[in-house]
Amino acid sequence: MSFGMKAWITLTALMLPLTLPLTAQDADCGLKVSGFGTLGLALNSSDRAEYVREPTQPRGVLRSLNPSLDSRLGLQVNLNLGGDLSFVGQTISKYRFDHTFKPDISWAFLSYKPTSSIQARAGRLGFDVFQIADTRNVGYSYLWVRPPVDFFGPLMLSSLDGGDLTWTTSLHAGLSLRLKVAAGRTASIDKVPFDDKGNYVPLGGSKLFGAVAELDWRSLNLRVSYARAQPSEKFPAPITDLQNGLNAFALLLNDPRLAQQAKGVDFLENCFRYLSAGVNWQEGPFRVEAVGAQVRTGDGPIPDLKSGYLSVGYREGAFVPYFLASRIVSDPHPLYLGALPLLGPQAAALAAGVSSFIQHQRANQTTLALGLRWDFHPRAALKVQIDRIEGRPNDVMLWLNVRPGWEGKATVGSVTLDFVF
Amino acid sequence: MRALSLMRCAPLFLAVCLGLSPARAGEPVVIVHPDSGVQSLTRDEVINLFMGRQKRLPSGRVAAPVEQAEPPATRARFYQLLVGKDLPDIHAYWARLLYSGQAQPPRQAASAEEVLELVAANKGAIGVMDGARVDRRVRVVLDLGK
Repeated sequence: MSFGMKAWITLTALMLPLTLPLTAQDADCGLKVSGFGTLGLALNSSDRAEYVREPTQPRGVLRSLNPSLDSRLGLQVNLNLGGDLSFVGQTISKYRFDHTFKPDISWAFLSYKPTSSIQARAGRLGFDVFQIADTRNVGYSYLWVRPPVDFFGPLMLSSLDGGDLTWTTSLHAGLSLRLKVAAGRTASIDKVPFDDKGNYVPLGGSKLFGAVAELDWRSLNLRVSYARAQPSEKFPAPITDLQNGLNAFALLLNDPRLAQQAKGVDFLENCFRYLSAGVNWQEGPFRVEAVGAQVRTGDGPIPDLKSGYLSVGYREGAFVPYFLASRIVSDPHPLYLGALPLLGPQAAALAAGVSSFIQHQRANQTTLALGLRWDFHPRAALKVQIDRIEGRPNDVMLWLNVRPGWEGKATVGSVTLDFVF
Repeated sequence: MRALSLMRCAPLFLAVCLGLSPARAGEPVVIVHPDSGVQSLTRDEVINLFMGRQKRLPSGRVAAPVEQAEPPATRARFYQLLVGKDLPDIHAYWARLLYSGQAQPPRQAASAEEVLELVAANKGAIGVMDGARVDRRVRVVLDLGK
């Protein structure tokens, strides 16, 4: 356990008793500080592949209790600047690309709400293309121990430097429509570790555009969203080496299709398009949520993705037993390697490298989970969950450090304590 | 035995004689300042104001929602009648809205008297409190228990 983790747990332990009582915030005072957090432990039945919650985590869970997977702490400041103008700042500490819990500024934006139907925000914002995507670190706000990995795993973008505009209108008694557009660049805090040597893939700086339409009718919520991301930062050496190798052989063999593949491996040449639709229904003790999404890449060999989840919970007093099923499928794009595998060891190694890189962009798996949420306190909930994951052993996008003997199957047990203060 | 059951019925009998229906006492009501410019509110309007969807009263004033937090039963009954949700669901709902920067939850007042004082002092305030404790300082705009 790193020093950062220890300090973090001590900090949380100190804060809990101080903050858990239901404190009345002073509405007249313009400044309000609040926060949220999760203390979690997870265990994997397999020691052949590491289970991760999000691709920004450099190590995952094996056959020993792991506190880094789900534990996190967030602090938020809401500053009322008078009537229509307010400021929101948020910092989150969680296990990140460099093996530390160094906090990142997740949000810092000004919100302007001149009428009850229009809201404009500018600064660093949460990006909510997918349902709950902007509150996925707030464990207390959802049913499960963590948002379904099959669904949110590939969605790495969390914050946006730019602006958004929301328009809300009431169409009929109890029926309201919300439209939102967002534009800017992905915040530089999203970094995906590439290897154990500290190399990472920067996700910041990508041009981002998103639009959401949401319909609320009593306890029913329908949502459709679209987003487009155009990466703009160069990737680290291991990936650019593959591109340079492909280009060199394309020239040598006079094979333009190889050059085409080199372009396709380059994320800069790929525009990622996200399309998602979801329904959320809460009536009496039932809470049902179903969401589907599609990620489209460019014409290159990086595969398209389809994913979705279904969650059903039933509240019985302070307890909510729930069931969660999620699935992700990759649509492979043809990978052309020409005569490479036959041209001696150097070319064969390059071909193997490219194939492996593409394999790491693929995911094909299904997860079935059963869990229980216990609201034992007005500001805290305890959850337990068992996940059974079954997938194709070679499509390892959502796993880390896959070792020989991995069969694509694992059971993950988790416990979390989620709180707000 | 007969005397005992009569004894048991006595409080109920007394309540009926006094014109108080036992079900009414403790039912939550929605109140505003008498000069707020609001005479009554529909259930949907109250849902919008207390669930963070609307920030202004129909009269145009910036709304300042406040709830009676103690005893929790008043608040629990209010949300059960308003949207059919238990308090843990309301808390989780607000965690989502607050930490996605969309809205802030209603102010929590410790007692019915504090709600009364806050609403009586602010023309934009809108409060939820035990209907049995309402007095002339405020106007009832929605009685969900009816």
